[in-house]
Amino acid sequence: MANQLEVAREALAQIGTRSKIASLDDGSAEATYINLLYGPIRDFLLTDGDYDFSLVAGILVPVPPPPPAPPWVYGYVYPTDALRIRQLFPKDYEPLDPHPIEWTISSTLGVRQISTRAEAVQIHYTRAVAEDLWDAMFRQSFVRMLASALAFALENRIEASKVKLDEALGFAGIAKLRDM
Amino acid sequence: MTIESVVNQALDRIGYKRHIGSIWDGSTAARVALNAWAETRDALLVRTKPEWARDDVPLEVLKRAPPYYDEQTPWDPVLHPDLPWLYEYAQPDNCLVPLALKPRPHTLPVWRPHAMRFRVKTDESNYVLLGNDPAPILTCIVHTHDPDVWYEDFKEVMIVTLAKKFEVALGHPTAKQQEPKDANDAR
Repeated sequence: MANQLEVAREALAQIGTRSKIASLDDGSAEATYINLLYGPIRDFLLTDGDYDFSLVAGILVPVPPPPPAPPWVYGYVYPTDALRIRQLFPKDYEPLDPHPIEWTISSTLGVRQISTRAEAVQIHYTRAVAEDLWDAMFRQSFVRMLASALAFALENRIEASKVKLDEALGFAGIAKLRDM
Repeated sequence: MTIESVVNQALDRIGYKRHIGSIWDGSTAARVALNAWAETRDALLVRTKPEWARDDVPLEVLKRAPPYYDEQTPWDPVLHPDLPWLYEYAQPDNCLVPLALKPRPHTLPVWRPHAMRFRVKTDESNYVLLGNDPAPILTCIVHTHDPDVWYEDFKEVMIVTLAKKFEVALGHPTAKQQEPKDANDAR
């Protein structure tokens, strides 16, 4: 079972650092930077791709009045754990005559909501999931992107950082092609 | 054959690595397919007018011309059909392309068939038909949504057309590999 610490150690190994971390809160520079960089990089890669393992289905919850500004008619609560909306399901759904439903994301007084023209009932979205659910290619992509950031943050190694970033983007491209 | 199997064959044509499980599964390919599906299907039905998508539908009269127009009963576009037509009919919801009008037969066979003139008109957001028969039957291409009903040649046309659209939206891996890396390679 992979966990955050294992993935972080793999990233440190990728940049050839000899230092090791006992835990993510051991107070070392490595642990500090990993805590800082881990979440944003993971969310960036997940948002960029449509990975099967990060797909979640949910029920849409209408927002209280007033309705959204025109041309939108219906408003729904944006799931708090959503990184990206993938698909909404219309209420009037005909299996043999599928039509997409258009939506937009807006923010009113700091609260995000989903606005649509047609009534929707269900949602598919991307969210961050535990490391043991990641597929191998995504993991390799993430490890290299984290390694790229750590190479720069810990040792100011610009070239090594660039190499790892290129590798990460290459793996991400392959992973997306496989998993989209 | 399902919608998904048609889409997956189109994805195979462009060398896409993945299949979709459902057109609603939220993957990139499914979203592209969902955007293109209904319009592509209807456009091909309109274009190819296949025999198996033809149907006869009785028409409902919306407006009829008075026996005569004069100063007391002038032509009123709200009440009367366009001149010089006698009747205006609603185009049935399931009709994609009106092909022909024919009278309701009293005896069969019809020994002296004759063509009945008609015209299609847009009435605000709806299509209506204009003609001169009080209760005609419309032969038209109807919405045919179930891929199981389609003939094989139509399925193939649908696959090829979707593949062309997917090539633009999803990229063509083979074409990408052949792209020159820089200007020198292109020469």
